[in-house]
Amino acid sequence: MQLDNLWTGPRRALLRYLVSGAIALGGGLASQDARATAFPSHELTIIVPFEPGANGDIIIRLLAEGMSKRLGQSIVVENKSGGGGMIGTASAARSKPDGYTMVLVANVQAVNSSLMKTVPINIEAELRGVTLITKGTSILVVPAKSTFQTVGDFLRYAKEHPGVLSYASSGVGSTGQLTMEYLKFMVGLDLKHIPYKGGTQMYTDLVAGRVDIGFGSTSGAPELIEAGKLRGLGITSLQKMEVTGDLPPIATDVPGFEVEHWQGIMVPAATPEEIVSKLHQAASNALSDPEIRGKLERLGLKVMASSPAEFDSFVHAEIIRWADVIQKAGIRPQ
Amino acid sequence: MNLSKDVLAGTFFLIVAAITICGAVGLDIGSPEEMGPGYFPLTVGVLLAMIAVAVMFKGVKVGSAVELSLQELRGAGLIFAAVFVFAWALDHLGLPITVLVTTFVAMKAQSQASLKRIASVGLSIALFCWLTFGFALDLHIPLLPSW
Amino acid sequence: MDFLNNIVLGLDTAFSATNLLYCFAGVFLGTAIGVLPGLGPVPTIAMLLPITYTLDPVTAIIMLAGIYYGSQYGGSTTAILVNLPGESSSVVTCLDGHEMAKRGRAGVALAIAALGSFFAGTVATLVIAGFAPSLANFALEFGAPDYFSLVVLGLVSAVILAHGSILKAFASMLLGIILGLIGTDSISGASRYTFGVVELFDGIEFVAVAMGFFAFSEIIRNLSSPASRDIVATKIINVWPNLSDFRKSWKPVLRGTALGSLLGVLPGGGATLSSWTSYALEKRLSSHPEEFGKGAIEGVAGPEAANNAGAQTSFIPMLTLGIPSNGVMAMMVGAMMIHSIVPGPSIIEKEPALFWGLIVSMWIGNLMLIVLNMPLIGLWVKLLKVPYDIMFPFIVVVCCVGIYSIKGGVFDIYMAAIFGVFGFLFSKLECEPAPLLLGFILGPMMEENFRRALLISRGEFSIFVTSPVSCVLLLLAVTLLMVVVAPSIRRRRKEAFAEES
Repeated sequence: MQLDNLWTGPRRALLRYLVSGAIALGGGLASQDARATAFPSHELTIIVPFEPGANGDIIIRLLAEGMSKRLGQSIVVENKSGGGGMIGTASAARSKPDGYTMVLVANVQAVNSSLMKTVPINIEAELRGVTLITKGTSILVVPAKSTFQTVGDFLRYAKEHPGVLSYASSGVGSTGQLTMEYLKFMVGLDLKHIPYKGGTQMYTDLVAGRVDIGFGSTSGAPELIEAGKLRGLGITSLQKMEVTGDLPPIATDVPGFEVEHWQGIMVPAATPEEIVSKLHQAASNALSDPEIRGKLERLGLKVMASSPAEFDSFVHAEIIRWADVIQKAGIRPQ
Repeated sequence: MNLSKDVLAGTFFLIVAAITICGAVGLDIGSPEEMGPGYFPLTVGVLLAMIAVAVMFKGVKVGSAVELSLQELRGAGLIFAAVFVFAWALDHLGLPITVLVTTFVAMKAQSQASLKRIASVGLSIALFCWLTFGFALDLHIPLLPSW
Repeated sequence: MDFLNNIVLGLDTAFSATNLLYCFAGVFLGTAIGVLPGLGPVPTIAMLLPITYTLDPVTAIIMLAGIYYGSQYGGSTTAILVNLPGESSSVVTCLDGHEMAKRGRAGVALAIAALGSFFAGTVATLVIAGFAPSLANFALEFGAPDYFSLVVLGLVSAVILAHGSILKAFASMLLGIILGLIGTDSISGASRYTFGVVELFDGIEFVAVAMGFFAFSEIIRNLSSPASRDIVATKIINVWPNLSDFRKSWKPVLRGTALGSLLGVLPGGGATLSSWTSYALEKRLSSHPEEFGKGAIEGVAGPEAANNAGAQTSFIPMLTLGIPSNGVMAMMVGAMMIHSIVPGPSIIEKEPALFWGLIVSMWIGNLMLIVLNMPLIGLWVKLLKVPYDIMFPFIVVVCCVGIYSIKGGVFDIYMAAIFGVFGFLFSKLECEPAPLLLGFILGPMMEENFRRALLISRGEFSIFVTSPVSCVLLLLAVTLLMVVVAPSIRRRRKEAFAEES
């Protein structure tokens, strides 16, 4: 049965080719109309503008499986990484607005809308929301041998010793950097930023104690905390989470501090309303499926479906919020 | 002697070094503690410039001339043309037709190829590509022409 | 006793019919994509991820792992046959492997590469089984200054392995570093030398550079001298290695395995570095270093073993710390997370069947690879007899498709064409592309760690010698450089005296 799976893809490809070949030969105009009546009539694509295996990629793959069952068509997850997620997003925005091409939009793109000097796409104008999928927390971590036991310890020391501590992030414009910049700006801290290229070396240096502090993800940090290689201090969500156990929200010490990374799907702005609502229905249906929900939750994520309009205004708010943080923290657009 | 390999190579490296240095100067250089994005490129550029000059000097003292035949240039030109054509055509013509065109251009690099041979080779490669990449591996690659 | 129990558990898991089947599917597919240039393991695994949803997680990981080491294996085939490095680690194999093919010894090169890889794979599997946690701690010892010094050592060995002018090799290496600068600076986020082209923000694709400098310029070389190419096709002497080949190879394989097992553990390019370092080491130790670059079997055996051992041990940081050491490992983490397994320090206790099953399956996979590949060698060698006017358009087209598949766009194909022009220029000017490629791969790592080290030390350059690992590596690099440069200076001085008198 599983081997069957291996072969449906190629067979579908052959069929698709033969069918579309026949259409091309017979003059494809008539078929265009036929296609519009029943959406979706063929394979759909969700573009993930990040590397395969990245956090957002996994979320989309889990969702796509459930959506395809509900739409009765297969969904291909296509990774088009590069340019801080903006290249793939732009290419999705410029695809046919027929609902067959969707794109993952996450906080990364909202941040990059203000961080990049030449932004290749205006997300608000060129895309429209289908649904929010998930939100998640980050974890403030220190090396196991660090003297900081609580968020308070860290804040106190950092305030008394400006410029002494260094913090790690997985790159310029990463969630980790922006979150720390936001914290710095709220509390008035002076920390030195040490950017890494992805999480690999960041965690290695954190574990070895070569940097003092940093924000880890729920996919990487909890295991290291459990093994006693890192110590968790607090989380960026307002409520305690299951994956992070007893770790208190940073908001306990810094009232109002909340940063959550999020993921959602969007389609080109010109996509008709009824197609968007069909996609939205399939997505929110899939998200209420206990199996998919459970899998997402085990990754430490909060499943948060939303209406298309809610997602649009959420994206709008996020873009404005990060533009503000970037400006106030003095991060220059690159 | 003027066109010795080393003199040319040195000149080439020097041009690259100059571009690198010019680009680096436009960036923030910074200090060793707070290195800007231009620090490392500037260092590498200057280093390359020094070596380029050394290579040129060596070339002036002892050097063998570059040999370049017309046939070679033709071959080189057409291979690059073939790759360019492939890149340009793929999104417009789809894989099989693009492969045919590319094969045609590439095989022209060999002066003695007959049209019949070009056609048969082109068709077989196009078929292979379609079967392997379009069908068996199901890569996301355009197969049909679309403008 | 514990160890034995674990191995029994692993054997039990790996030898189930399903797992054997998927392991075979993985290595078979891996070999196939390794042979097709440009098609790397990352897009293949991404393509196959949906299939793994329905599989048992152990089975899924076994198959994906098979794809990875199978592709490492297949990559050397194209390197030897058509001078096309599909992976950064097989660039070294081109140097002597393709030269061997040109001398009618393609079969020998392929066989030694396969046998060496099998041996290395077996040893590295044992290493993972026995020492995974302690090797992971070794990886933790490596901080920014140490990475910088390791890269310096790697680059020095690249210059040493040049068989032409050391000056030009040095210049090529710097040129490679400059090409590696293109894109977004990872420390400041500034874009450098991108000229506003969005596609360049993430830098130039390795495969585009490798194809331009190696595959395309090799085709042009062959087209311009058809006579020499025909010799390759007709002059296939012994297909299988003889006793003297084995005698020459076994020590390089041993040394390569050791180097690869150790360096493979380091995240980010450890496996690549190990094959270059092994090449430099063999050239240094050889009694006939002048044969390197002209088809020396040691130059294939050592690096191939190192590369395969490194590919195997690069699983260690992921399995023991949950830290993926390269793109493929990141995909594996993704595949596991889809099944709600989070790799990390506790995976050995929490998922013993997965951990030990994977390890045993690696060895079985290596065995399958050799059974699969040895009979294929005869076929590959026959492929060289295909008329060249069919071969070269085929190579061009397959390369283009391969590049396209990496990011699903044509931009990198244009880049490959441009690098082809440079590659042609290079061969006309007798500059070597190998140091350029290594500079390109390691340059970003060098700059990043250089700057990060100084950020951490607040501008103190002494950090490079106060860290013991870094200090040793730098000393090693300097010694290597002296050993090579000193004789050539002495020789030149002698020549100068001879001219004067």
